[in-house]
Amino acid sequence: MTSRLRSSCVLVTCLLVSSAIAAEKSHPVIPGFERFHAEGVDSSVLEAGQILLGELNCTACHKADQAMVDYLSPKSAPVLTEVGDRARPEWIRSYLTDTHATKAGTTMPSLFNHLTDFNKKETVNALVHFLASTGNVHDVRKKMQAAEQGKKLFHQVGCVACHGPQEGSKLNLATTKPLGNLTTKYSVPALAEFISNPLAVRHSGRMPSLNLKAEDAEAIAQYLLKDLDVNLPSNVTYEFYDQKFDELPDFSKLKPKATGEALGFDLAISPRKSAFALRFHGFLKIEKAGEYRFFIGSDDGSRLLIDGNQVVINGGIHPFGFKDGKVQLDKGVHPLTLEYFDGGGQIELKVEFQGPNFKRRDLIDYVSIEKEPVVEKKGPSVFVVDSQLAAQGQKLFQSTGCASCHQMKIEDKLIQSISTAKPLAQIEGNTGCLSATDLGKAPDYSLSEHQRSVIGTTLNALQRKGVPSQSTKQSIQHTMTVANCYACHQRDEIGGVEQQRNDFFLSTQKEMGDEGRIPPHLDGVGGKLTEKWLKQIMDKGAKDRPYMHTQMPSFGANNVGHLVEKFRELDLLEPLATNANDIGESVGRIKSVGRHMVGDKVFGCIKCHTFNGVKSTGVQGIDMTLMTKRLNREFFHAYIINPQGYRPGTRMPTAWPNGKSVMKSIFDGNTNYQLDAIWTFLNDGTKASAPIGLGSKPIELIAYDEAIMYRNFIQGAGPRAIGVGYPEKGNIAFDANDMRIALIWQGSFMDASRHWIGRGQGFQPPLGDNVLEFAKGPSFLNLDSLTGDWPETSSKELGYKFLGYHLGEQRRPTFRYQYNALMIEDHTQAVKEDGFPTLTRTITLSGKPGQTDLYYRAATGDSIEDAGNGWFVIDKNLRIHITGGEAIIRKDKKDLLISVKLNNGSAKIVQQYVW
Amino acid sequence: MKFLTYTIASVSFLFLSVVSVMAQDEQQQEYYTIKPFEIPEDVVLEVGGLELTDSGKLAVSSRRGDIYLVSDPFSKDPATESKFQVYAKGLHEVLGLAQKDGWLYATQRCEVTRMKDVDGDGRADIFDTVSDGWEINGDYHEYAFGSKFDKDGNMWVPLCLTGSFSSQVPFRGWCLRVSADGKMTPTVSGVRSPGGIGMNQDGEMFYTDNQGPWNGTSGLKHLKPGHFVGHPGGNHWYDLAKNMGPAPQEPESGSRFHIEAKKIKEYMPAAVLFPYNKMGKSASGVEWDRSKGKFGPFQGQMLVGDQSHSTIMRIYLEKVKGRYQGVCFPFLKGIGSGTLPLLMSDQGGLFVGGTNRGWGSSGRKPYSLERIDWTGKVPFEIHEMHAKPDGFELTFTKPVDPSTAGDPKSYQLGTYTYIYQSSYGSPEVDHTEPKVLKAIVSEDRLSVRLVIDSIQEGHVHELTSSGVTSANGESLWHDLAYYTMNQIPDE
Repeated sequence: MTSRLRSSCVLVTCLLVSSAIAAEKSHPVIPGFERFHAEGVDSSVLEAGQILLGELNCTACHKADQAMVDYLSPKSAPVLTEVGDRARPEWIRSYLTDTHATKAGTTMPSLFNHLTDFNKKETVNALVHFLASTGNVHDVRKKMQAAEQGKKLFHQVGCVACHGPQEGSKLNLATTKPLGNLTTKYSVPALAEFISNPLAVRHSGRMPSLNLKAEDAEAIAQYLLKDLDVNLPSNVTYEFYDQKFDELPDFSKLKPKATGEALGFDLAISPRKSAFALRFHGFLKIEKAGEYRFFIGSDDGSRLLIDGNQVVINGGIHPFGFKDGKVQLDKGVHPLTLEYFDGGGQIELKVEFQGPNFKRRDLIDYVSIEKEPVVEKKGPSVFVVDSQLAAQGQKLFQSTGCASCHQMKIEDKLIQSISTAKPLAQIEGNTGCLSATDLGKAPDYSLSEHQRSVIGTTLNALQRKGVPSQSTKQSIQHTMTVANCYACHQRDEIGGVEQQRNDFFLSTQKEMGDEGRIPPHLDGVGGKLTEKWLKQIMDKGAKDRPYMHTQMPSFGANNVGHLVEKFRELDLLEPLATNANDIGESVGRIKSVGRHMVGDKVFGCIKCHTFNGVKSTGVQGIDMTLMTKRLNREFFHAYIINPQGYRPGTRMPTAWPNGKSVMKSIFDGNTNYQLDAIWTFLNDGTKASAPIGLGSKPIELIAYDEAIMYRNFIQGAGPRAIGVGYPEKGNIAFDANDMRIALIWQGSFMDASRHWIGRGQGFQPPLGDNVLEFAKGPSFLNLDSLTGDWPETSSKELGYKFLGYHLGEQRRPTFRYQYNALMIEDHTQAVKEDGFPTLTRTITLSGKPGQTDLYYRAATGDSIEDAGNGWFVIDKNLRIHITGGEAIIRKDKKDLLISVKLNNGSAKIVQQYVW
Repeated sequence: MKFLTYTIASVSFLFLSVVSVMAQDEQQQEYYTIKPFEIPEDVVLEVGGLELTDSGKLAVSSRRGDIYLVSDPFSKDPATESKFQVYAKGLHEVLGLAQKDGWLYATQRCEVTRMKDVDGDGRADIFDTVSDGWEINGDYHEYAFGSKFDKDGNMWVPLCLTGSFSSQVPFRGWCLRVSADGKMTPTVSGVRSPGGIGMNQDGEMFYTDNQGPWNGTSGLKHLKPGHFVGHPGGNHWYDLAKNMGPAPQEPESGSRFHIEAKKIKEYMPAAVLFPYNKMGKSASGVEWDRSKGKFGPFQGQMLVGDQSHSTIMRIYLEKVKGRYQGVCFPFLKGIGSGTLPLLMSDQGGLFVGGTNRGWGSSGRKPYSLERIDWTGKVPFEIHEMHAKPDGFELTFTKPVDPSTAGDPKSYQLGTYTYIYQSSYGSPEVDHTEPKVLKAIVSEDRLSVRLVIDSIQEGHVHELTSSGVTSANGESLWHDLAYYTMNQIPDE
């Protein structure tokens, strides 16, 4: 027997629903059955029966062969291990006594209706003691602010799709899964834990997980249990001041407008929504002497005093933010005062603390109204587990059939059912559970006449003909019905959001219309999404559409994972005949072209699609950097050519009408090449360089007839970067900390808007294309031997000194730096060649070379090929030509060094970059 | 009937208050005129630095990294007569310009650079790195300001902290000295977020530091080599600054400036505090009136900008027990954008650059370049304010009326200070209201000796002299003064 014998719901008034005021008895509600197979709906009886036999878990008692079980895919009952932590004992009693009245629509049968009232009471009592012995329902204080947030979440994130709204005129739809009287069953933490991961106790995923953050799950629980009457005693006194202040006032000089007791530092006690002040008093009990840290977060000002001394002040008018302070506290009780004011607008107050033996948490649970808190009195509502009754209950759990459906472990051992029933194959119609007139000892499912008839007919057919063969399409439909995918998604013209629930599907962007708020249809989804992404969505859910309030929950791979293969079997598109390799250009160039097309100078995809989190100027369509991860390439081609064909009514425009490109100048107007160039560019995901025109108002710096410079924080070239844009549209970024060329690129030079609008935070990447980033470390180095490592250390630390630059013809700079006694002049010239300019770098050295051999590092790369005549190919992308010394490829160091010998105190290296 | 009277009274009150605001602006025009330069349409000139060149042009640097030369900076109507010519482009946020030996020195975010036009096309073509002896992380707050050359041939470079809170790389939160040939010397620690740097008439260097951690309000701080000016965030770099000796003791958060100054010998609190909101919110450029009277009666005094209020304050400093302290007065307002650098010329024109990018200002223009000239008319103002063991001595720009200036009721005095703490800013605290016991007018009627009942060490003394009139019956142009009493003089 478990040692946790005392299960209590101290001082919680559980207004139990007595059968007299109970809701009407109801038949089991299975939303998919109600929607597609209700009485009067034209549907296949066999498919309807398949749903009922599975959802009512008939094979848990009536054994059947594996083929039958697979066909029925039965829904398992909730796991009851530690159910005592979750459900209140008095609710369990009510539920076991009058199952269908206590929880309308439940699929659990009532097991004890055949017993005499007395025996039923005894049986149920023992079971209650047994189930309650597994834990404790722990109540916490109400948080009205959280409940408000929970109300919003409940009606937005997707709960309404199955459960229906809880406000206003509640929808009376047969397809709505009733919530039951939650306040009698759950406490806030218990419900929050269930909501945050329903699959933990309900493995079948009929209640999927919305992957909510802990605070959101708690908010929804606070909302759903807002009527819970938690009689926790007040723990602070308060004074209310109805004046507007600009700063924390001297409270000692003010007269409060009202005083009273409150449950926590609750701003809701103010009759005014803004412009007021509050002061709370209470006592903090400290168990362990030590240093305590207090955090007060407020909008506007607040101040915390302990033992009359200020510990934290978060004064003035400001948006919500935390301040903290530390104090040494002795063991014992400390008077505490919390001051707060609001100068107008938003209000918020949070108080937390951490101590020597615990992490940061809410302070309020440790505060009491009196110095010596009154010992909690044990009221009549305290539930005390009787160990003998519990032991008896455990036996009943095995013998009465509970254990046939419910998994439950006691001391890590699964409880086995010893109840027996006829195998499924031997059930005679209209007897046992299916009897309309005399259930006898059989469980009472409270089936409707229609349900009884459907099950009877189906059983008969199954018994006669065995497991029917099922097409892939039928199998998909069955799963989508029982998992209620159809509540949100349409496929093959079945399902989709019901008209009556439509208003609860909302978007952050109204202007996106229905596609911004209604979950997508699933026609062809097996061809649309990659296998990996589909699997991930089935198992873990998704939040790829930031504009859609409703989230795709996780149903669990075990429950719906088989859909992936089936969707693919039916939907996969024909492979494309061409690919990016056919274009006959280097990958760098293909990406450049793709990037151009995505940018606002060609097709302007980024005007309506977020790109790597950067908002577009118009609606915020799905992030482009996600596309190649989510989508199959074949679908990408097919969809872009004909968006309306796949998604009627979409706002996505057709840029390749009838598959023909309007941009004849790009790859001769070859549609497939153009789409593959975009695909190749997007395939870099979040590493793809930002398309032209992304973000707010660019300030493009353009070199017309002279070179231009941009000294600023350039991404990849450090905080002392010097960007140089040449009129030939070849560009470099020189890192003046490292004295090296850090980046080269083609096309547009820089967008200065990041640094020239607002305060100018952060590093800006080049605006152009085909950006190559070179390895960190010095350009020149004295090496003891050729096996020496080339350091990544900043050149400055190696003794390099940056001397500045001189501007020559067309204001082209020559950088000057010093390495020990060596003077280095570094000049780059851009050369225009078709659309892709090249660069020629000339480095002139003078002075003394140093004690050991001097090397110049011309390149680094995983693959460095000697292409002859001084040409080298780096990583199959960059071609360099180099003169000025012997070239040495060091495969192990992945670099290309030039041995530099000074002649009469000088040397010259010329390096050409083609990419 | 009663109701009607009330309405009329309130209307006329409203009317009066509007008139008094306008009168104030008109009054400024009687003494000082603000003359804007017309910045070419294609130039965004968010002014960061100003210097007059040997060739008589005004060099203007910008936050976008450009330097322009403005011709005829003293022209009668700069809006039409002065022309802009580009001198350099593509530099990194230039917040200081200085001239020496034919070179123009610019303090960029990343380095001190000197430049010269060798080929004579009017644009610089040699850019020599003079010093890059500090590091940057890539945080916008990591500003570097640059002074003019001091009497020993050094430029002073105060460096803002990273994010204005901490010092993650050397020497953020320090002021460095850089000689013309590139020698860098760590000079003062404790800098938080500078807004400008300049000298007083003695050639001593001062900078403004802004409200934030360890700065209860903005202030003007004296940069004296070897000292610590308040924010301990950068003190771990003492290891790299052997010339500075060991790091000073850490100040105690929650204390007061003057109390910590007694404990920590290296600590120099602000010589003048600028009460937050009352005098401004973002203290900026620092300059002194070297015009020998061509800019009005305040020669030798200091001028400090406020970016947020688009104003220029007037500062009078005195030395008490070996350290500078003093008073700030409201002075000029209506700068086109947010006041940043100030440059006073020997001729008496005060050049003022403005920007409000990233930080809003009362001046609505996004950027501005203006020259302020004195009209020749002397305003009736408190000229200087000296601390005395039992009160103050005020001097005036014009003889006073002894009946008003000699009446203690013409003056109101309040004192307060700010918490010296690690968290952001501070409210005004420790308020007192000393009584003015006596107001003794001097024989020449140009000064008044105020005897008060309790002078407060470490407090700002906010003096309102609204009752005082000149011998001609004029009221004071500005009747407010804020004296920072770091130390009470012995005599």
